[in-house]
Amino acid sequence: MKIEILYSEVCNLAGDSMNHRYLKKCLPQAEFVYTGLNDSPAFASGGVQMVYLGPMSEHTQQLVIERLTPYRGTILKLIEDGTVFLFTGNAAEVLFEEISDCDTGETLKGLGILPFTAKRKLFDRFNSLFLGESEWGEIVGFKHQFTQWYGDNSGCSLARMERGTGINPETPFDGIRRGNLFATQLLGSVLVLNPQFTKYLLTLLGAEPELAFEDAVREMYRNRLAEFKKPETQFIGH
Amino acid sequence: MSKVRFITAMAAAKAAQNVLIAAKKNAAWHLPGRVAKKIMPDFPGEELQRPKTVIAVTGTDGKTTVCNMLCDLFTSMGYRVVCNNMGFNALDGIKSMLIYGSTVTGKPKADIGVFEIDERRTRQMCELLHPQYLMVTGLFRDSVNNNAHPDYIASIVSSGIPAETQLILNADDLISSRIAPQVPREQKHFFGLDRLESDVTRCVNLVNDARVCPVCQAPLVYDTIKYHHIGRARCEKCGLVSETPDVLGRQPDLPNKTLTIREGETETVYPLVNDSIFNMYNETAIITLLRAMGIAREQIAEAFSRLKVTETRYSRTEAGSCEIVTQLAKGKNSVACSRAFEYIKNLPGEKQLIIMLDDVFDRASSSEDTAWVFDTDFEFLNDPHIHKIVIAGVRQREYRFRLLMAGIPEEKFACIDDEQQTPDCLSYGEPEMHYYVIHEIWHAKVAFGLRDKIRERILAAESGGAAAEKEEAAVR
Repeated sequence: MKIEILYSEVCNLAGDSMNHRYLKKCLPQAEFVYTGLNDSPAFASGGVQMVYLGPMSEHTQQLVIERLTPYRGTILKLIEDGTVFLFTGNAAEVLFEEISDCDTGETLKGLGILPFTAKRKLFDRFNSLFLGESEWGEIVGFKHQFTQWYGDNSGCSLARMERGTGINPETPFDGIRRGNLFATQLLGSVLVLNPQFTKYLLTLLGAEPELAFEDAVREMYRNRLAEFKKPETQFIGH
Repeated sequence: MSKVRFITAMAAAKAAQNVLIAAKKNAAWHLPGRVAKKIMPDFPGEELQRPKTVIAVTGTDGKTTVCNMLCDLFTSMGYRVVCNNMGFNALDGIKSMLIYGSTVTGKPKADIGVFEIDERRTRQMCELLHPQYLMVTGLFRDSVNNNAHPDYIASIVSSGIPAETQLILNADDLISSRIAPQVPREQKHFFGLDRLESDVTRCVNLVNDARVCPVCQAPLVYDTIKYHHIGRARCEKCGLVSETPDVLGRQPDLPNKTLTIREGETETVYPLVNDSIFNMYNETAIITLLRAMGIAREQIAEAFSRLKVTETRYSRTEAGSCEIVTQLAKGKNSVACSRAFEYIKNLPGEKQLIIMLDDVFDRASSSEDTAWVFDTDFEFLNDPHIHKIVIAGVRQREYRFRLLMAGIPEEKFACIDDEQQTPDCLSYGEPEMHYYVIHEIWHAKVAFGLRDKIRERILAAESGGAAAEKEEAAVR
């Protein structure tokens, strides 16, 4: 099994490299390919079962869009063929129609793979906890972002918000799913925080759904869930 | 009219300040600034004269330490100093310090103002303070809630600096050394550290935020790395290289506690205040600033010889044959904690550790995002000379997971809720053991309490052992 980590030297903010470091512990037999910003993606040559892209700076988003533009068609085909993609934080924005900067009025054209847009306000940081119901049970995570996402994800979301916000403050639906592509704004290492989702991902990859340090991550999850459900826990702007 | 309003604002703010000082309410130090603003919305305007020399210090880590040291150095040189060295680096806190350091009519009581400023408020602070000198200790990733990422902070700092300011910049930091293109090169004073024995050429840390060339995005080549992205970098594609330091710290002599500083062809030996590389950078930065101000080398060296690191940041206590060290590590900051862990790992001797890094505000009202823990190099603690690690706080489960990921065997650590119980998890009776209490700033008082408890346990174990030996000898 081959798992490709895209541009990990620059797309690794907010502790999210733990997503692939943990995946590596769960899949000791898998081959992990780390593709640099100046390398050709391994997925272009085939044989990759999963592609991961982590959160990045705004400037890096522009670079990643430039790097991936020649592979737009390949990415679309891989999505249709069921390859697993996991994009966390602001990573999925590179797949959108555009990222628009509300302060400068500038627009960055994305790959146009997902029919969504991101609106960025660099002087309005949005911080929130997130608790939502999903097909894998309750999902927990954190949002720290300059953007909000717009587009209709009511039929393709990853979770329905119980507390926090969806992809923008006006919707209860969080995340975007297309086939086996999972796009979430959630940070805090979504795979470590949500063991049941990670198990599902392992199953999709055809692996045994066995987690590394399972008792530790389950205990973490139970504890977070209990904290997130306390009415006094502050969610927005924490 | 505006003068009357200004004096009224100053008088009211000073009255509030006196109440705070009498009541020892340091945490409310920002209030006088707010009182003045209430009376005079554009306070302080131009009515309040700034000290003749104003120095602003910013950067992700080290700014409080640097300000404390500068304040002590200037004081020992005979200057009158006003300094926000209690750590209030937001706008109202700085205004309060300006009020404190001035007469009611707005005349400065100090010759020099030293102000730690929040890097996200660089523009407002520069507008308020009009600093002649601005030091940037270095820029790293910090709290993801507020600081997002180093590029973001670099752009905020960069755009807020007036073109006439003299800058003290870290040549070994490819992120902060490139800020403020509006400031001419002759106003930039670069500091750096020469190659050290511990330098590497491949980053061993989880976080390195300057892996690719900021100009052409080709992979950077590091000739030396001290830690994370701090080192000497070059781009083989476009020719970009790290800035050349004007002031270079070199040849630290740890047994004799000295640091040699090279300026051009001149080398001067200064007392070394602290043996961590991070603090060598702080010291070199300070010397660079003082030299830029025209202060004589001998005067600087003399002042350094009387300097100590504040106890809330570092304390060392002997207990029998053992020692107990309390050391501050900034929470929500993977680089600061990684620095503390590596420093302790590299110290000689057998060690046991207590770690308390919970964010007290999130603990009280929310649920802390521990993503930064995943960026922190807990791998440094996977060391045969570290015998026990006790981590306490509400986030103990996340730390347990992180220690397991670092390959540390579960029998070597304990993760518990209650900080007060941490001394119970350590072992005593081993001679010459080094105990470390690594704590977040808000846990300083707790850390000192634990230090005292550990000391009692060590002394009890050692006196018990001595009594037993005596008894055994008597039987023989």
